[in-house]
Amino acid sequence: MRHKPLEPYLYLSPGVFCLVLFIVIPVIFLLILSFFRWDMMSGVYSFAGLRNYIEMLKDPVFFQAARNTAIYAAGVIPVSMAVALAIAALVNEKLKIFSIYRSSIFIPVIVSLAASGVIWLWIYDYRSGILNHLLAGLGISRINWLGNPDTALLSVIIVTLWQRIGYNMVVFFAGLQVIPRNLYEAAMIDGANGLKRFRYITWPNLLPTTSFILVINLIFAFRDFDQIYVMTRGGPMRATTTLVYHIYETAFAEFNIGMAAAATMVLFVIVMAATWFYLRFFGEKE
Amino acid sequence: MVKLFAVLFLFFISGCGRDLSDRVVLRFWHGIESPENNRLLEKKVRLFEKRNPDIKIELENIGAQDRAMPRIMTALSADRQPDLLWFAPVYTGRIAESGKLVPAEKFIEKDTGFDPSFIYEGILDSGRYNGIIYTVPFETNCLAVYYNKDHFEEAGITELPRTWEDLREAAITITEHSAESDRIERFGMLIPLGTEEWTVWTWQTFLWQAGGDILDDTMTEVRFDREPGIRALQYWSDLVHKYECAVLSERNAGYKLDPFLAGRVSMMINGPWIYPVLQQQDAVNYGSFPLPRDKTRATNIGGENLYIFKSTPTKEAAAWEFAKFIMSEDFQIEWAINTGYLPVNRRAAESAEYRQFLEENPFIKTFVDSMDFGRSRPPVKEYSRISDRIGRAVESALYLRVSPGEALRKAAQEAEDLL
Repeated sequence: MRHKPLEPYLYLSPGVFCLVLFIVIPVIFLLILSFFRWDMMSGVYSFAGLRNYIEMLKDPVFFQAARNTAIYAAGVIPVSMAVALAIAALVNEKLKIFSIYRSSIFIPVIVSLAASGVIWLWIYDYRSGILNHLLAGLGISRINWLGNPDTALLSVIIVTLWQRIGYNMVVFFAGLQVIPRNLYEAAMIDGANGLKRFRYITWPNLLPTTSFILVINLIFAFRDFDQIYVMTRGGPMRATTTLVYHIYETAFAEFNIGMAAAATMVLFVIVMAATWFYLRFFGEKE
Repeated sequence: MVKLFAVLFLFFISGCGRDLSDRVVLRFWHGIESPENNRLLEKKVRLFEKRNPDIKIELENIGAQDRAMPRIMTALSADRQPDLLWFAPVYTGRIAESGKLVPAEKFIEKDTGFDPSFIYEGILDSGRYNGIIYTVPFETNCLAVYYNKDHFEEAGITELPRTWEDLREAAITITEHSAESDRIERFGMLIPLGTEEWTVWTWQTFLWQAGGDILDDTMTEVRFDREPGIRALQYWSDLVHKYECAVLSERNAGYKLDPFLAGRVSMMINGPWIYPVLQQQDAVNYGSFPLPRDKTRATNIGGENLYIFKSTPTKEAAAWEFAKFIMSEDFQIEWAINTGYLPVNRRAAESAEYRQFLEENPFIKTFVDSMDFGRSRPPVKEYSRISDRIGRAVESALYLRVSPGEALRKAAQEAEDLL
């Protein structure tokens, strides 16, 4: 009998080391922080038990942030997925015109969200932005996109869509490419039209990809911060304060580190639940 | 080989705080924005180093002041603070609480060669916390109203507004409606919108003018939700919504000059530091006048202070040398003339050179004169959070989501909880 092989563990160790150092330890530290009051300035901390959590649940701003995050996710995920799937399917049909689109739709993905936030600040500008200029051409009066509490969140959603559709499209496209061609050929011989081929071949074969995109988008939606920080700073009147932005403000404007850690734990649990759900139902099939 | 490493190692550890030539190295964090002012600071620092060959100042720009607080906080909590910091005096209390500041009073008491009476008392007080001077002034400023002289002439306004009513009437007269549509082409006044410090800083002057204050004299009770506060916020809101003679700025950009320089607004509240920018343009013929009075006159004193952090006695002494250099007549005159900031040193302000500068630039004299009725923000450690609550109240009232009274009462309750 040969002794236990050490080699695989050796190969794993750099990855595990990084995982522990950058993910596991910070998460444990975060959990501990959420039970403490910590004044960063003086370095004084005291055990607070569940006080951070209780105060968080009493804070109307936390619920407003949670509501904004839900609206944001509900606005971004279905639309970006549906549009991305439609484009990917058309590109997959090898129509020349759509292959030109393929790269142009992906371009926003490689632009950092902070930079695209700045670009969109100009596009949305009330007075000199191109969007209001185009609307004026249509006879529609100017809209204060980012300055009006009623339209600000929608404006942020549009920016995210602009970026995320490209990402989703590429993943969908990769998923479409691995569906065997002969399935389509067989279906065509049987006389299935485009819609039927999509319904009975593309959709079921694409399900693992779709569920992956759903979960990844959910995680993205809970994490998005850059464009909000650049464009609206959570305003006006907290209309674009999402959970992450609220956490940022609590930690780095209010310097209430304990409560920020508590809110981060909530976010962590939500994202973990989404990931677990995905792995539980789709993980093994892939 | 071992020897080489040993030498390198010694170099490395001795590098902390000292450079190779045995000079004391001070890290100086600042957030001075314009390139011209940065160049001037660099020049003056080199001059200081020439005069003090054993001290080296390492300049590090930490970016816009409004957003520098997180960086300072994290530095402090990791014990990586600089030796010197350029920052608004209102944060003196907050940062002094860390216990990592050297109170400037310690140096002032010991240093017989330094006479603090040359520094304006009101400005020196801005760096006081619990009765002790912690930080010393670097530069100062206050707010006044800039106006477009051509617009005033066109509208036939010969006397500059002195009261709230005057200001409103002037703004109404100047506001121009478009001939074809009901759109307004030109507004009399720019009202800063947003929740950040700029809005609160400017609104506070109206609060004071109305006879109110943020806190009571003991700094323990909230006062801004009383009648004067409500009246001050109502006044702003009425200018925009009732009389339609003022326009809201972009959010958190009330200090931007674009609407004024483009002639879209005829009056804006701003500080003397915009002088270099105004000099470089010839689109607008501008002047300034003091903020109007209601019950009383008031403006808000701003500027920046020097914070000295605890380190070693040698470094602290070197930092104090630098602070004295900054407050000196020479530095203050040159800094004021080039940047538009006001001198903190009485002798600099009264010097022939500076007086001549004021004669050539009368609009800066408005600010110097306004300092007489200037007041400072309450130096409590909770100030930035209270300011945030006031900013949100001002914003929601200007958006007409709630009445000024309701907005301020809600903010006052939150502020009371903080105190």
